[in-house]
Parts: sequence; structure tokens; C-alpha cells
Amino acid sequence: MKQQFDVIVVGAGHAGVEAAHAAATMGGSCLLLTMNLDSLSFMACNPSIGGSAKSHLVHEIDALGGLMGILADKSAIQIRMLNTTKGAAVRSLRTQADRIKYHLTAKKIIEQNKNITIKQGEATQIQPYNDQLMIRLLTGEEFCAPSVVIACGVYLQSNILIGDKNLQSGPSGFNRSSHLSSSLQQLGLELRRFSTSTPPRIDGKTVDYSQTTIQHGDDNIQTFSSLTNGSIKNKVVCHMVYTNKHTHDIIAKNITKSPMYRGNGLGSGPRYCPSIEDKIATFPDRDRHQLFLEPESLSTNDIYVQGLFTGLPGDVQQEFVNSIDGLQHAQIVYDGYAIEYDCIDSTQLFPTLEFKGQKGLFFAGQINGSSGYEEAAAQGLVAGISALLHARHSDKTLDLSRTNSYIGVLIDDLVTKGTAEPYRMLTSRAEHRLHLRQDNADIRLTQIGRDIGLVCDKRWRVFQKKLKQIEQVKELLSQSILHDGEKITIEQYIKRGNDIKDLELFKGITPSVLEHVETETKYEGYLARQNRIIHESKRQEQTKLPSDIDYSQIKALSREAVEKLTLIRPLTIAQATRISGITPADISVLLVWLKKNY
Amino acid sequence: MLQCVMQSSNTIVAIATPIGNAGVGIIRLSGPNAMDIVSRCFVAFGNVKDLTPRLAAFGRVTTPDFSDTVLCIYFPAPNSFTGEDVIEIQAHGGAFLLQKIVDHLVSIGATPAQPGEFSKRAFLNGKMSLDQAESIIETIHAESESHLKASSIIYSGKLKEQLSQFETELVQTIAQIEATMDYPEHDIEHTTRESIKPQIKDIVNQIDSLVSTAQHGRIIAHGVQIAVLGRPNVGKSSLFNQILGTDRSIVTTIEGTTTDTVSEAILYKGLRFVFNDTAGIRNAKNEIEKLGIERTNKVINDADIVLSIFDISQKPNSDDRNVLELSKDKNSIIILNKSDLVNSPTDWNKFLGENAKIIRTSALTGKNINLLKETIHNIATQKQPKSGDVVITNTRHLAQLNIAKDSLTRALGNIDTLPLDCIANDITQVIDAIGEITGTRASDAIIDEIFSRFCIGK
Repeated sequence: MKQQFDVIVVGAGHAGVEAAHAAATMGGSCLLLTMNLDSLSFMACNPSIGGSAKSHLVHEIDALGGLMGILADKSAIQIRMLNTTKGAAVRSLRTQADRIKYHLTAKKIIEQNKNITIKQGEATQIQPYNDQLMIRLLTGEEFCAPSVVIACGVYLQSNILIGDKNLQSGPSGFNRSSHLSSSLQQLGLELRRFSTSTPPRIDGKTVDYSQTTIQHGDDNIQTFSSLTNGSIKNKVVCHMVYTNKHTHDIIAKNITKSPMYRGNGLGSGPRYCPSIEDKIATFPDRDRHQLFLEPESLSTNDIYVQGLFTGLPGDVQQEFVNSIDGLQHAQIVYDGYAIEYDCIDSTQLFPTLEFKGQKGLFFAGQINGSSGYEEAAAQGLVAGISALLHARHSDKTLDLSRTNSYIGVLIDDLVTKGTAEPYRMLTSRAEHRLHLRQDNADIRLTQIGRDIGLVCDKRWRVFQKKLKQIEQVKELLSQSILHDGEKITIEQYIKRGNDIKDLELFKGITPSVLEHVETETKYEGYLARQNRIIHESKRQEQTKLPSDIDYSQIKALSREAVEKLTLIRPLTIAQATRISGITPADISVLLVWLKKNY
Repeated sequence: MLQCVMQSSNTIVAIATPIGNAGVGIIRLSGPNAMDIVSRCFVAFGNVKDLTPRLAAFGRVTTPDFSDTVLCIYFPAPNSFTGEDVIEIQAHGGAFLLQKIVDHLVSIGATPAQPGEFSKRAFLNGKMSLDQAESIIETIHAESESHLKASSIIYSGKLKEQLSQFETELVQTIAQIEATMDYPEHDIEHTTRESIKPQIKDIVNQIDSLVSTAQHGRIIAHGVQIAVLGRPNVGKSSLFNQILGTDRSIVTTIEGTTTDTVSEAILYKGLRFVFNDTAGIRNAKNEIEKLGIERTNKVINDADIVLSIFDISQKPNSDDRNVLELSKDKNSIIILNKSDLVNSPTDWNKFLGENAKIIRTSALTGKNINLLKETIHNIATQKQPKSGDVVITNTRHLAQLNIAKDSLTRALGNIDTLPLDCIANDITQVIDAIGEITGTRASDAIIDEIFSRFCIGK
């Protein structure tokens, strides 16, 4: 008799952990498989969480009852709010994480969850088994469940590339997974090669900090999670250094030795996170590039050199690192590298992240062609919830869309547009950006998380308290105060760009509540317009496309449109409009056709 | 699997030519049973058995009540206007006759077509794009040379070209803002608000000048709206008829006969003049007259030009003063009628003041009627853009351009006080509005509007 679970999660990275936590919190029995117990929630690249748009994802994960915000807060060693002057919609929290503490904190939370069984082992095969799915490990052990979440990150057939060396390995010296790819292909998944890169880590004691610029954390610290109460502090500072002409010469001279260099045949890499080789080749006129020295953990001396992603040979890396002021004597402890890996075509998935070709098989994280911990975690959360709903034959749905969340935007982009390079979240991808802010993530999503069974009582109470405070503050907006000798209402006071934090009236109110009301007041006109547009697009979301349409029979559609529509099988007209290659003319045809036939 | 063959199951029929008595009228059928239906009422002369594709057949259509000799042309699918089997019957052009034939075709299996249904089918069968559909509507609705010309400029792609250029520039502007927001940690060149200001200002001005052509565009599309105003019995109706050359209004000497507004149009030098006659101006005594006066006010409000008519055979009275008052804020032409009766209207010169544009006419003799038409034409073309320039004639385009202009003006106004995310939002709305015009965005609302403007039989 095979051991039986509600959900099996393959991979315990940022997606897998979030998926297992969600399914288990909702009451499902969950097997979490990992190739290495010490790689659970491992930060293989940047030791940081958040930043532009990614912060929004973390706030949303937290609002829905997910894990990442809590983990990031608990392991934060430096906290900064970015984009403070550029508007409430793009204001983004970014924390430097202690990557070792992050891993341990996650491990502890997962271990304490009685519904989760953790197991080290390499999944090699997945196949339908009766009405369920069966997973076989390299050791021959077999498990089955109605739902499986594949969250294997960049480990499938991964190669580490440094100069002309090509190592069959996962990141950071962990084993790669060599067998699962072909099993996925047998199920009908199309695989392709993506790549990404990571910078060298240097030994902190070999840096001459006197030649660097210090970057401090914020004085007023905010948190990702509404459950974190004021205990987090800045514990480290980061430092800035710059490349120079000499650095660029070294890189240019050796550029053909890099696997990242164009024409060397590496899988698609992220434009948003270019290697230093790419930067030098693309912007030959720039005389310097900014780099950040970021401590990886309070427990180690390792420094992450943000901005120096590279696949150049080790000796070249050492040479150009030493060409930088402040790093003349820096010692690389771990070379930067490029990694190439298998991922699937995300348009083969439904918005639940279920594979269109196999019921109960879900995918989340970098396997779907995304990049970043936050993007992975967001998908993990959705896949975990969807997987449990499937296992339970529940008719509940997780209502995340482009109009209510960045997670909705992320998923829709992946399953509708697909991606030709590792997908990174950007605020500009969200057309309703003014509405999708950090400060209202819980207002947008906590009810949804509660309904689905993921938001615990404590989080719900905190949320209710916030709602009550917001009401309180809003009631006071019409009160008049004396400002510069003039009697004006608090609403006018806010609209003139003033901060209400300092007003006596609001003593004792949580700063995040005040910030929320300030934003809603200041942006009133813009938000009203945005809401009208959201309303309009929701209407389009409601125009459903029957799943059994034979698009090839609609003569007016272009051939490309027929192919794309048949492949993606959009659920609504709105989703169809977002498929690349589908023209407005095609949409017009569909609309008229629908009206005529339904 | 659902079958969704676009070949419609029913065969539609409608009169394709304008309703009215003409030499020839065309009835069009489209659908799989077109041939079957026609063969049941049409017999070709001579020994011709079957209709040859795209060859006119001479013969007779027979209905239970009458028969008519017609030409019949068969366009087999897919090489037809709709992409379906189409048959056109050219019959004699009487409205009643054509309708009787259609009624008979319906009784033997055809379905009366909905407005725009032929074009909709053509569109669905890939026979034309949405752009083309829109251009067909404009062409169908064009009632003057200038309107045809304006539509042809737009569909030559000149407007699209101009808008695409705005779009490109705006996308560049927004990219600067987005980069600033999406890469806060990187030292990419940060946008200063100052650098995007002139870019936005420039496009606002350009959109504004496009919007300003709409006034002339409306004149082109809907004609010069002319309100004809005057107290009762100044000879308004007879002058009106003199201009039109027909007996449209009832001309009578009983005051207040013309209580309703009556519109008639003439073509003059490629422009349509739409004359809207109004009820006589005086203090209304009964309900019908009051209603008439309300309508009069609306006509004056909507008018491009007001013709104020006075009877110079009489002295100016309070009603005349009222007329002068009503037209004072409008582009107005003063007409001194009945000039065949009086030569030197001294009272009137004083009454009208010095600056008035005065034309002396006689509705009886037709004196100066051509001068009046020329004057109207001159006023109407004062704001005419350079020949070959884009003129906005489409109300949908104008509405979107106004949204674009408002959003961009707001962005400009807020650029020093509001955060960049708001500014980006405004600019995005401009890009969306432009996209709605050029068709890079599609919404069901647009489709509905476009096809609802078709008339039956097209």
C-alpha cells in the first residue's frame, strides 16, 4: 500500500514551502519532498526580500495567510522603504535577509505543522495512478495523492557554467535533478531552457569599507506581515561601490569566455537582471556601474555583490573584483556563475496553475519560467490552495485577478501571455497599479484568504481592528483644524500634501492605518477613475468563452489567432485580449461571434 | 465538439438601395438557401436554366400578386460581399414594389435582415476588417463631397499615423517614469519631472489642434446647422422656401402657423446647409406655441449660424427686439426681408446697430438669395483646416480625443504636486484612449456602436 496524502509538493524552495504551508493550513495532509533538507527555503541568490513590485507580492501573500512576509520579517537584518517620493502605488519595502535564519525559521514553521510530512528524496517519476497521481523517488519509494505540486525550481537538468566549465549541478553545490524532466515530457509538457546568473560572494573581512559609501536602513521601520509586532531592527548596513574603466576593460577583454555572452548558446536569461558582461556590452558608454555589498547573514562573513552577476571564469572574476575601489584586496569565497535549467511553457497551465493535460498536476515557481523568490512564493500559494481544493473536490475558487492583486497579474501573465525569458514582476505590469498598493493588500485580499480557510483567527482579528481604525480616522476627516491661521478640514489638510501623523487627534492610531487613509484621500480622484476602469474590465472578465469552441471553424480569425486560442483556451474574452498575437480585430470577431451563437 | 461554422443557417434578405422611388432598386439575399429561394420565384427568359456565377440573368420574378421583370446576379460563396452565397435582384425601383418582392421572398423562406447584418456577416467571414467596416459606414452616411473627402483622408491612414506618433512619444515618456519606479536600487538615469514636462506639453498642444478640427468636422459630417429666426409674418417661411426651392413649410399669413421646427438641407459648394425653421418668436399664448418656443431655443443653441429675419416694411417692435436678443451670442446674419416693398429703412439701421452683417432679401423676388448662401458658406468655412489635413468627423474619435486631452492636461497640471504613479496613470489613459481610436484596443462597446450605425441592407 502506497502512502497516501492529499497533496504532494515536489521541492521545498520558496514556492514549495508556501504551497505545502497553504495546503496544510487549510487542513490537507501534505508530503513535502526536497532533494536536501538543508536547502529548504534556501536563498540561492540575493539575500533579500521585496523591492519594487516584489514587495507588493509579499504583502499580498501575507494578506492571504501565506508565509513569506513572516519569514522575511523574522530574518530581516536591514529594512528600507524604496520609492518613498514616487507615489503610494510604487512605494516598496525591501529587507536584507539573514539567509541562514530565513532557512531555519522556515524549517521550524514547516516542522511544527502537524499536517506536513517532510522527506528528503529525489522525485524521478510522476504518473497517473487510479484517479490519483503517483510519485516515485530515486530510491524506488512511491507515494500518491489526488494533487501534486511541482515546485522544483531551477534544479531540472541544471548546469552550472563558469567560464568554459559546465558542471552538472544544482545551485550552490546542491545536486541537480536529472530524471524528472523526461517524466514530465511523457505527460505532455513542453520543456525549454532558461538561464540566470548570480554574482560572486566575497569575504567581508577583506573589504576596505573606508572606500565605500554606507547605506543605512530606515529609521521608521515597516514590516511585510501584519502579524509582526515591532520587534524588528536594522542590524547591518550595506555599502556601495562602483565599477570603473579598468573593470570594464577586464570584462571586455574576456567577454567571449562568458557563457552569458551572446552567441554562446545559453538558454534565455532575464533582461531585468543583466549580467555585468551584458551591461558592458550593451552600454559601452557608461563609465561606471553601481554595486551594493550586501551581508548574507549575521552568522557568516559572506558578502553578496549585488549588480555583478557573471559567468566569467573564476580568475577573471577575481581580477575585476580587485579592480574596484574598496575591493582591491577582496577575496572571492564563491564564484559567480550562470545556471541553465529546464522549465515548462507556462501557457500550458490554467489560472489555477493546473496543467491542462493532467488533472491534479500543478506547477509553481521557477519551473514555470518566473524568476525571484517572491514570484515563486506567490505561485506556490496559489498552487497549494488550488491543489487542496482539487483534492477535496471543492467547488470553491480562489478569486485572484488582475483587478485585485499582483498575484493575479503574475498568474494571468504566465498562463495567458507566457514568457520568453525568466519573468520578473514589475509595477508597470499591473494596469490597475494605483489600486494594487502595499497599504491596502489586506483590504483587497484578507477576506478572500479567510473564505478559503487560510487566514488564521489572529490575522483576522488584526485585520478587523485595522478596518475599525480606518473607519475611525475617516470619520474625523470632515473635522476642521487651524492650519497656518486658516480653518480647513482634515481632508483638505491631507489633499494639500500634509502628513496627519503629527496631528494630536490621531495619537494612538497605527501609522499604517494613517498612511492608508492619507493615500485614499490624496488619490481620491485617481482611484475613482481607476475603479471605473476596473469595473469595466470586470465586465469583460465576465464574458465567458465556452471551453469547447472549435476556433478553426471561425473563418474570420487569423491563422495565428486560431492557433493561439486553441493552445491557451482562454476562459474569458478579457483573457483572450491579453494573448500575444491576438489582435483587436480577432477580439471583435469573437465578440460578434459569441453574440450570434450564444 | 461544438460546431461553429460561420456559414449562417438562415438566409437574409433586404432592400439594398435607398428607399424611395427610383428607376432601379436592388434586393439582396445572403445565406445558404439564397439560390433555392430565388429559384422558386425567378424564371430566366430564354432557355437559361441555372444562374451563371457573376453573370446577370434577365427574367421575371413572380409573386402571388404581381410579377416584375428583373436582372438577377449570383455570387457563390466565398467570392461575395458577405462570403456566403449572395443573389442580387435588380427590380424596378418603386418602394412598394420592392417591399412586396421582399415580403414574398420572406414567405418562401428568407429572413428579414437586421441593420448592418450583411456587413456583420462579411466581417465575420473575414471579408473586411473593422476599419473597413467603419469606413463603409462613413461613406454610406456621407451626404456631401466634403464629408467624403474628410473620411477618405482619415482612411488613408493619416489620422492613424498622427496618433501612432503620439503613442510612440507617450510610451517613451512613460518608460522613463516606469524605469525610475521599477529600478529604485539601480543607478539608471532617473527621470526628472522637468524633462517630461515639455514632452507632455507638446502632445497636449497637438491633440488640442486635432480636437479643434472637430468643430469643422461636425459641419462636414452633419452639415452647417442654421437656425431661421424671426417674429411671425416676417416672411420667414417663404424665404425659407425660396432658399430650398421647394414648398416645405406651409406659407400662410395666419400668425403662428409654423409651430413646429422644420429642417431641410441643400448642398452648396460641397457643403450641406441644414436650415432649421423655427416657430415664430412672440409671447406664446397657448401650450402648442410654448412647446414651439422651447424647440426654437434648442435649435438656436445647436446652430452654427442664426439667420435673423426682419420685415422692413414694418417698424421694429418688441418681438423683433426679442429676436435680436436671442441671436446676440451667435454667429448671426441679419436679413431684411420684403426689401421689394421698402427702400430706405432708417428705423432699422438704428435698431440693428452698426456692426451687424446685413443682407437685404426679398422672398418674393428671390433677391440676394445667392449672396445669402455665399455668406453662410464663408462663415462655415472660416475655421476650415488646410486642405489635406485630418478633420475629425467621427464622434467616437472626438470623444476619445477629448479623454486623451483631459488626461494629459491633468498630468501636466499635477506634475509638480502629485507623485509619479499618478502621472503615469494619466499618461496610460491617454495611450488607451488613442488605442481605442486606432483599434489597438477592442471593446464590445465599440463593436456594438459600429454595427448599430449600419442601416438595413448594408
